Amino acid sequence: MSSADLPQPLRLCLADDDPTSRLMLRVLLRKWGYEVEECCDGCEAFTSLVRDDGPRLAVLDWMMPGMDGAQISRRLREEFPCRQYYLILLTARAEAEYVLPGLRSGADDFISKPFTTAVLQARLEVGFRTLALQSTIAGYAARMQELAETRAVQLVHSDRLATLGTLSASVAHEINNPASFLSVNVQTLEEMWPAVEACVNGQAQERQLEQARALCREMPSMLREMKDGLERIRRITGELRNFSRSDTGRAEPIGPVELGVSLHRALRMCSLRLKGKVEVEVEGDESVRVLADAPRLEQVVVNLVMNAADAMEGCERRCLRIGILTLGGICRLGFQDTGPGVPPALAERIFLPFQSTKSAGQGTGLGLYISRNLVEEFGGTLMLESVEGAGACFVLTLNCAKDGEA
Amino acid sequence: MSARHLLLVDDEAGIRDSLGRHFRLAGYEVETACDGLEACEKLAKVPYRVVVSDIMMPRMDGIELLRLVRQEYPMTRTVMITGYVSLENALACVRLGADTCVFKPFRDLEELDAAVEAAFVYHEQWERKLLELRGLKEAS
Repeated sequence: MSSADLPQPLRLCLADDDPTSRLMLRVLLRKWGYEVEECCDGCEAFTSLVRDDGPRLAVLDWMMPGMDGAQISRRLREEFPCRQYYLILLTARAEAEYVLPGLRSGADDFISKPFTTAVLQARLEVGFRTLALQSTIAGYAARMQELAETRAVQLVHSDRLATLGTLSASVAHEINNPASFLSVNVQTLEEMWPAVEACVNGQAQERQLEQARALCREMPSMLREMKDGLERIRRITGELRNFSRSDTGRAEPIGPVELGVSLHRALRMCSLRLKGKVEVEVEGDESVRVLADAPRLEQVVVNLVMNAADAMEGCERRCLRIGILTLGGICRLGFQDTGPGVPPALAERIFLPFQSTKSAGQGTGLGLYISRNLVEEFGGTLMLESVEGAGACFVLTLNCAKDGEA
Repeated sequence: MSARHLLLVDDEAGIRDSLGRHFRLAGYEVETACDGLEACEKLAKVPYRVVVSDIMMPRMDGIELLRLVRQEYPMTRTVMITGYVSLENALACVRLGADTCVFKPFRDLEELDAAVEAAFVYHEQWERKLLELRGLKEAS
């Protein structure tokens, strides 16, 4: 790593209130190939350094009118913590009582007068090398941050797909049922149609007449069933599409969601897992509107419901009570199960990634970790309030939409 | 009880209605129940010869119902229908002696019709034989 990575020619700020010292230093610095911004007091130096395109390395005299070198260092560090500066203080005294406060103020280096030109030259080289390194590291850090954000988005999506995978049986069942009565009715119509034709053609026998009459009687309810069935299938595919929708980046604009609608949509997706196995009770005002992104909220609810169902597997009583309580603009949603509860040792780690208690292939171990992140994205919280032996209670809090928000 | 009386068990109203209609139009008498428990109550009153039952149902599922029918009503034939096909369920049906297991969404009702028809034929054959035996007994 060398200073060749920095914009050339290398620029620095030289601040000294003594014109003679300034002149001497300027001559030297120019000879070494540096571009010099000269400042004759502390304020001028500070102004030069805070400019977006200002120099990032400064040689600052300790004692200056306006602001001294240490003050400049402190303010730069405090006010621009993300910027890389390399600050060298010049002072007439080399005692610790001077050096230490100088370094603590945020200066990187310290040169005491009188100094040899070789020392100054070497220190400047170190300074520019350090700046070059810092800029490389900052570049890496930005790239890492970007990668981490991309991965986080992918992770949320893949967890949702994994959840969807575990729900696929449920979904197939949800579609198969309405498809069944559509299918049965279509076949009934096929069977009966010849009788209707015979009647229209005036060639119907007594039995066909009977069949045609029966069909006329049944037709309205058959049509109704078929419409219902189609509507149910349409709704399920719509929900699936919504649920598996790929995330394009950050959260969608967070809008008010009617809690009950999302809650029941999520429960419907879990219905097969629950049916006949887990009793679900929803208590409280379901019409409350909360600030959330509906598909993500549903992802969280599906996660909590499936977890509860898994936890209660093999228990005598399997009941999941979902209690909604709204108070002071906060909606509290409790998921209380009658399972064995969460052992205290696990409770501490349960929201960390890869803490699955399920065997391989049954869970990503990311469910609760991702759920909590999702909830926090729309300003809510997800916590565990478990009393061992009394079942687990996961508590989701969400902000309520204010009146008038569309 | 009429000879061709069957009990249709499904928690899905749309299936009870459509399948019930299908069997009625085919000449069967159909009674329905919405889960295993209701089916048990109805079986206790009328020992239906044929039970057509869904598997996944609340309160009491089809496998439990099948087990109970095996124990309490050995003469009753059972035809299972399911929208959620798992090997586990299919094996349970075989083990508990269901006549067959037909998968929803019934692309073709022939399989179900044939199973129900065969179940009634089975009953009628036995009944005829029992009648003959009884006749022999009375004659002797």
